[in-house]
Amino acid sequence: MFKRHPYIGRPDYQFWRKEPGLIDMTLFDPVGKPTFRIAPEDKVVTAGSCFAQHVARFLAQAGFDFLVTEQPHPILVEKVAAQLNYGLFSARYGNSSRSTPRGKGPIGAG
Amino acid sequence: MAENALTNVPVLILGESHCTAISRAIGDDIRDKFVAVDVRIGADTSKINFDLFSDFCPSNILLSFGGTEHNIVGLIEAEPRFDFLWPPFDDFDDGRCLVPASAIEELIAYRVQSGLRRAMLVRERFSCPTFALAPPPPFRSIDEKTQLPQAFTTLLEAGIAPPALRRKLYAVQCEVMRRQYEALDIPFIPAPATATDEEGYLLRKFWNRDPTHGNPAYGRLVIKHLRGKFDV
Repeated sequence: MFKRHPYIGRPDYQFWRKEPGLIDMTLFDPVGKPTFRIAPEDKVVTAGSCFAQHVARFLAQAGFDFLVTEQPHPILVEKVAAQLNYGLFSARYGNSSRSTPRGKGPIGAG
Repeated sequence: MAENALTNVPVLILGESHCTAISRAIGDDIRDKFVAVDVRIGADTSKINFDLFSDFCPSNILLSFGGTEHNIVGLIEAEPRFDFLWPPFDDFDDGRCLVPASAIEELIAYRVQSGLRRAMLVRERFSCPTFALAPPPPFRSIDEKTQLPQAFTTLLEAGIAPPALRRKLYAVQCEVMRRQYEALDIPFIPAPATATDEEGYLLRKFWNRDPTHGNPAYGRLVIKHLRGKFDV
């Protein structure tokens, strides 16, 4: 009996053996064609592991609207706020890489 | 050249501003049993004058460093006004911004570190049993005689935080201090229960103009509390 698997019907760029960059490195495209675009005015929420933290930081630095819903009260000194994970993600749910199996969490979960 | 002989003393109390009330309460009748020294160089809490207590050979030392961190966090109203949940107190004001109790705890733990470091610098000079003293409990309200320490007076325009909030902050401070000192094998001695009213506020007779520090009457109460504990 023929077994279906998750790679059936996937586009060429998701297969190494079809990767044109293997023959001509200038054709290598590690991202592919995104299925959506983020505009600067879009609110972006992050969750996941340290990879999601990096994504959040770079989005914010690049002028995107990294939405942080849980702000520290002004009485909290910066160092303590950082220890308590304020600003790390959109809310203080912490780094979820240990509770989320790799590859099965939200975008950015590592 | 012969070294100076050390003075034996059953209880040596070393600390900063909160030590002053105790030192003022030590009369001639107990001077051979208790010695209290404010170890600061002037009002500079960052420096310790070790010479002030180098001639003593104590049987016990009591540390009274820091202790006003709860006031720094919440004596004066912050903007936005905040409250937090800290059982068994059930007086949360839902008109205020909720700050997680863990954040308050972490903040006070962070602020307490400085006093703890100084306390440990003092402790390492001795090998006798060591204890840590709680700061005085929070006052309920100020009156016309009140004069807050200078650090707070410039902020007073914002108002003084409600007593219920300050009582919780003090409870967090004591819990944090207890945990941190006990982790270093230093038992923590709470303030005498008789220093407060039934709701846990420092009785008016135990502070003079400055409600954040006990007066000599408070010092005498602490000494009485300690005499029972150390059997001296």
